[in-house]
Amino acid sequence: MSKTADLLFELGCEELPPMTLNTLRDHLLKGVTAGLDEANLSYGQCHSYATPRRLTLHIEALQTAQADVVVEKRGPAVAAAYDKEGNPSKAALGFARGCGAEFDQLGTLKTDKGEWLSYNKLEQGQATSSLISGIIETSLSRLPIAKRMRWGSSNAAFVRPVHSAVLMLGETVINSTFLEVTSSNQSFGHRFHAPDNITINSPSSYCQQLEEAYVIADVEQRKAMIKDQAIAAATAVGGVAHIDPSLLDEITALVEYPVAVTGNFDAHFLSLPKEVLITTMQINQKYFPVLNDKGALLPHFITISNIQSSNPASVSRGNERVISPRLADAEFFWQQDLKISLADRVSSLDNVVFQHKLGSVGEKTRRVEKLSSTLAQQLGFDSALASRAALLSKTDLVTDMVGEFASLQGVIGRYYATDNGEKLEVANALEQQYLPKQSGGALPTSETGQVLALCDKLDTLIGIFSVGLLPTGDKDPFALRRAALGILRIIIENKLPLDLKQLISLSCTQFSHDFDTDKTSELVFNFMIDRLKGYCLAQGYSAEQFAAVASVNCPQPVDFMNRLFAVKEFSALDEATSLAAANKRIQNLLKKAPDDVASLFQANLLQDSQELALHHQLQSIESQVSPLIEQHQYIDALKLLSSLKSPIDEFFEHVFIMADDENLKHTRLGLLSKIHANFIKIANISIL
Amino acid sequence: MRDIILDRDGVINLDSDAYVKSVDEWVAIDSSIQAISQLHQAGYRVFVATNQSGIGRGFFSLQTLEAMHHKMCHLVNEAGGLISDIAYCPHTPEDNCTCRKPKAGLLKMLAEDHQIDLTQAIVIGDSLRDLQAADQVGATGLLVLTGKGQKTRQQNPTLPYPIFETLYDATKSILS
Repeated sequence: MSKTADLLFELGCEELPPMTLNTLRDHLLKGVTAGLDEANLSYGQCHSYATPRRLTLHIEALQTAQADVVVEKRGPAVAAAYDKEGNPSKAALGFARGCGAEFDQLGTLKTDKGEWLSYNKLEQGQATSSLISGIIETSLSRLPIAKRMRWGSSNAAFVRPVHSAVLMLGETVINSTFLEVTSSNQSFGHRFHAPDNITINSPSSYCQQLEEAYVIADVEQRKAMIKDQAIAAATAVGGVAHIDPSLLDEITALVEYPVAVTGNFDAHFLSLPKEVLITTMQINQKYFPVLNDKGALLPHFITISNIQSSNPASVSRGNERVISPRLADAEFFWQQDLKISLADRVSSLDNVVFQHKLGSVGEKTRRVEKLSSTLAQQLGFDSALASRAALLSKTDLVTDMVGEFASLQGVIGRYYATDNGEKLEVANALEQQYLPKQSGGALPTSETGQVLALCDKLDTLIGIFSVGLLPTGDKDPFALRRAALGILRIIIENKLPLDLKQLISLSCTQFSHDFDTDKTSELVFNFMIDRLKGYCLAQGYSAEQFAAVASVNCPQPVDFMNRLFAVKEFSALDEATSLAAANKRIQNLLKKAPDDVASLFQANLLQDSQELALHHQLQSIESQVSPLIEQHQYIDALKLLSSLKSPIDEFFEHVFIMADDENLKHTRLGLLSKIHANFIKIANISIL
Repeated sequence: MRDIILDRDGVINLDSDAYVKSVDEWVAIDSSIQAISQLHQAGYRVFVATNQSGIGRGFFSLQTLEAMHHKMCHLVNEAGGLISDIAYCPHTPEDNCTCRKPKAGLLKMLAEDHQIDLTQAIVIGDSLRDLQAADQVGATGLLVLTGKGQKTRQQNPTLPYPIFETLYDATKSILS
């Protein structure tokens, strides 16, 4: 066993960006361990820490030096190693010199090509202390930082100015420089509680020493503390802390020493929509809201302060002073907005641009209204409700409340619609039109909500494609990928009997501007099939299974999924491989045959027992298969068809298809074509 | 026995239009030293045949040429390789000697001294005259694109010889 010691590296910075703190921490560790692996240095457990003011690595049991390795070097042939007098030749001496050895230390090596001089050179491993700074420096330079900043007169560039660096192997400081800061064993404590330098004794005492200086270095530990404190504080006022995971992460990245402080706001604000209060507290103020056991808001909030105040009451009063005016603003917007009903706001949508080639939001509303009404009718839903919901769908965008809290579009619409006395179904649809909000997110539950969500997304998708603004690479400003996937999920997961091609052409007719309808329809359809593929692969279907169904004309997503499921079941059958191969063979044979070869089939020409058997089997199941396919019973249909396996195998083995007699040849090809036609009604099995 | 005869300037070391006139100006192409070593390790004999009219023109002395070759052999030896012999032509074109490439004198000299079957030998160079010399004695010529190689290829777009980026690439192909 070689010697090991713990490694500690800490980079002290000015306040790091909270959103990327964990990413920086993880990449730093990943980069360093990758460097260690490359240098063949072994190590034990790795810890990485991060606070707003530092990034730290603690790597246990790091090998203190690389292992020595013996490298075999080959020299000139033995025949060329001595001169006529039997003394070492120039070439041999030169080789020895190149190895840093004497001639008599050289050995020989025999291979099938002859005998050569050789030398086993011991390459001494380097000390970790001489390698580690290079490894860390490389990792720092590769951190995913969008824009590095410079500070003072220094040439170093990092995400934020760097002030200190600790680098220790065991208890020994390794002298080096990172971003123009010299390494030492001097860390520092909390900005206010313990601003002095701390001499770190050893890597393993780092966390303990920092904790004594009011710094909780470990992100997970800090996060747990915040959560526990928030829960305890909420319990103390008789409620439950509403902890949004991303807000918890953000707060964790903002404090080194969390202390929960409870505050209150005036209870009369509780008459405002819950979402408005929560957004104000969470997004604007970074406070945790407090709910009662029924999920309603209580007039309290919990803030996480980065300091243990000697006078928490005054901190609390300060926080309350900040949130009151914000809530008062929201209340003002609420009251003003209610003076004009959503229905009266429809005309003002004509002044809001949706997309300059596609006109105003008012025009979009009218398109979606027509589309929703038609679609609702087609689905047997209430088309009056659907067109009402569509008419009001974008009106909350011109309210002051959504102007202030843009993320609440839809939600605010629902509140105002309810207040205006709109039907509940309509009000809910206003919120549900934006669902699903992220991949795997909740779908609209009501019929009107589903129709509106579909039509809104469809209109955006077709509209943007029609003016040529297709998403490229990671640029998708209109979130068209999400819209397309949303459409598919709403149709599939609610089992709506809709046809994509028909939907697309219906939506195309709503637009008044001039564009190539066929081209746009094809682009949109293919774009949606791409999304469908991603959706299916994520559900555990294979790319071959997907391709087998995608290669037959099947524009109904629900039908598509039924076929796909059947194909997956079929793949598990014993007959599947052989039938897939048979279909492939048939396809290749048919490529050379006339297109109408099936009609050239003459049953009375069949003569060999194998072809008679195959024809017989086909006839006996064909009458059952067609109705099954019509009723979308694809699994049963495929199971029936799989009974063709043995007759097909026999046929291919014994029957000579390309007979000299044209009629016989066409009859045999025709028989195969009939079989293929049955499979292709479900999926192209040959791709499996 | 398989034999390889290399041109020197532009194949083993960087070439200069103003002649390589001193030991310091003789700068090896690192991968070529490796390549010679690999060829030797694989059982080939490696020779060098080079025009050095700089001597006839009085740009540098025979001693300097020997020193350059010493440096070359030294590097090759250190890498575990061996150059079996070096033949050079000190004449200027006006001397009308029999050894200066594209004539085959240098190759014939080497063949006589070392019992080389030139029809089985490989000649590697960066200029047309290296390959023309090879053709005269029935050896296989290979062009490398180091040194004057690029220019040679441009001026003679339909050369019937295999072409490699460097001596190292040519070696890889020979050994595979």
